[in-house]
Amino acid sequence: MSFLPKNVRTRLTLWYVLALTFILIIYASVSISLVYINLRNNLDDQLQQDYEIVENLMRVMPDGSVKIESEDDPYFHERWFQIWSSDWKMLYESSPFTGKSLPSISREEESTSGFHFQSMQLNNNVRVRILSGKINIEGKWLFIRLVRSEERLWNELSGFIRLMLIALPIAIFIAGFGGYFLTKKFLSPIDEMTAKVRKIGEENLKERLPVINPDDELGNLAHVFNDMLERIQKSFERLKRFTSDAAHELRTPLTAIRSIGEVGLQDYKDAKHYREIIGSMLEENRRLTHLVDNLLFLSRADAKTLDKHLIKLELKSFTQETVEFIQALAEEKNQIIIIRAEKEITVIADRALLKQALLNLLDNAIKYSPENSEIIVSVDTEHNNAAFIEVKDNGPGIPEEHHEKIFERFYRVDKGRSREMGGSGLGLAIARWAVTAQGGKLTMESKTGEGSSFRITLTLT
Amino acid sequence: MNILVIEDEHKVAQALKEGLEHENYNVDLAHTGEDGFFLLNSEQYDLLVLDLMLPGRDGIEILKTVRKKKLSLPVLILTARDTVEDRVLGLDSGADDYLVKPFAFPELLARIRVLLRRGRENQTFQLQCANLKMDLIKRKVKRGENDIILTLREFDLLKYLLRHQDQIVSREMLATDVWKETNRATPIDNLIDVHIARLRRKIDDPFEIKLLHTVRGVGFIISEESP
Repeated sequence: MSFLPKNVRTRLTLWYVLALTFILIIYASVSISLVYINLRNNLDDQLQQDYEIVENLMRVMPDGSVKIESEDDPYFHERWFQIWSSDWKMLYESSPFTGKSLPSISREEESTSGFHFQSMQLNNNVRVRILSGKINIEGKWLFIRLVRSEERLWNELSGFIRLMLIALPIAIFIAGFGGYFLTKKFLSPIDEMTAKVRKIGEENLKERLPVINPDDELGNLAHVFNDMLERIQKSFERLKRFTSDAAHELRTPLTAIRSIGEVGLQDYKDAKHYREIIGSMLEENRRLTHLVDNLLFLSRADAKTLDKHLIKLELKSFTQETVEFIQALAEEKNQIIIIRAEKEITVIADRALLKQALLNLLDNAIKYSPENSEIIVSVDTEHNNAAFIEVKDNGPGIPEEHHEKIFERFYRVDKGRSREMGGSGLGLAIARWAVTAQGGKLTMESKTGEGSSFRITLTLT
Repeated sequence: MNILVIEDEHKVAQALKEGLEHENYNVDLAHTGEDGFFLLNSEQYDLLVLDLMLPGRDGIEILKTVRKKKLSLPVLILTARDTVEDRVLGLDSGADDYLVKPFAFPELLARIRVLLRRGRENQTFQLQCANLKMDLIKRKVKRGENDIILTLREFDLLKYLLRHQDQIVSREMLATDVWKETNRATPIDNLIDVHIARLRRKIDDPFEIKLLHTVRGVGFIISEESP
């Protein structure tokens, strides 16, 4: 289809001009035929009237010749008619037309019982319409032939055709031209959108496309584009913040390593001192490594390159095992972890990912709950179609304003305190990802002073 | 024991050389794949430590050529990439073990020991350090004449430490070998520290000579002598 013009507007115009031309040609042919038929019928009516007049005024003489009464009537001066006998002799011909000759009566004319119409081109290029009829006068068969020129018919018809030939191209031209401009008008929002989109880059992601008519298709398109831009802008901003947050987080251990090293080199000390310094640097290095491991995990999670191994998993025993795994940490703070699980619930899940999520939640609960408190882990079903594991702590709770952001990477409610406890600020982000990756949800409820509860919800199959 | 280390990062290579020499291995260094290949062809080595990301010929290529030549020396690869695909690629190409960077040096030593000892693992049912004795069959631990009651986890932890007696054991090694936690993004350092503290309370606190020591920033060691 390479011969088609590239732009939609021209193509659209071309297509409907083509369609319009086709329709108009059919229309013209039909009307021309109708006009022709109509004109010819008129002519035939006139011939028939003439015939009746001739029939009435005709007298057959006893000698066999034919006489027309009132021959002088001017009516007959303009009429061309012939009367033939049944033995092919012309008995009469109206006077003014004798210069022209008609062919003899054909078999066809002869055999027709009623009227016979025919069109004919005479040798001087005159088109005529001939009406022939048979009458029986006093036992003798006579043929009457009436002739009228078709000149007027053809003049009128050719006039009509000429009109069509002029009017049709004009109509098509006007329609095409108008269509072209209409299309341009309708498609102009697309041009505007194109120009706008072309200008949108990473610096001005805030810009949106103009929505001219929100209800039509183009408005809808612009709307969809705007939604997409919104999402791109948001993820772009998230990415930017994440990068700067990550750099920030990396800075802390880097600063520590540097300071420890520089201060250590200030004086000459004994080997024990240097061992301490190196050990301390290695501890910071360890924090860095952890951070990088977590970041890698998340970036793999984002890129969806982490493999999932979905298996049938019984939540009650899984929860017991996981709690047991981390129990020692709670015991150090004299905290009791109570598991409330009435029944066995089997879900399809990735064991490692779910364990990671639950461990992160438990780790947080232990960290933020005071000594000698209780942490309640409930395993149950809800609405008959979902299972959940809920970890409820007795910590300080999370103020309302942080609820939205608590799952974001590097977000901390209390920055200084959390870092002191060895938190990377990625635990909940990782937990949420680990849960959503297997089709679940991680939600939180919390009120200041009343502790927080985090709930992993998985659909039952 | 002769070890060839092919590693392009000079600082890392030098550290590896010094660390391994400290453990009484003979170490040759190669900084490019070509050099390493030349050394492999001219000298006799017992082990190859191979970085996968090398300028010129990369590690996998060297590994494949080594295996094609029917050189049967054990190969330990070092890689900064730790996706499953990378590991599989390395092991499929003929590596015997891999370590993900940044790795803990004690872990490297442990892996090298395993590779060099492979095939003649000595089966023991008794582990001992000074007067601390562990009976693996009866699952009993004694320090001198005193029975020590350990939880399952503490028992496994002590067993692992005793098996690596006089060697530093890193937290990563404990995480993977004792806690069976391979995901490096799961933070269980605190958990390890707590268990070490508990174990210490049981096997060391009541006694004068301390056996379980912390090497700051590196890991833990069980030994009669303080490191």
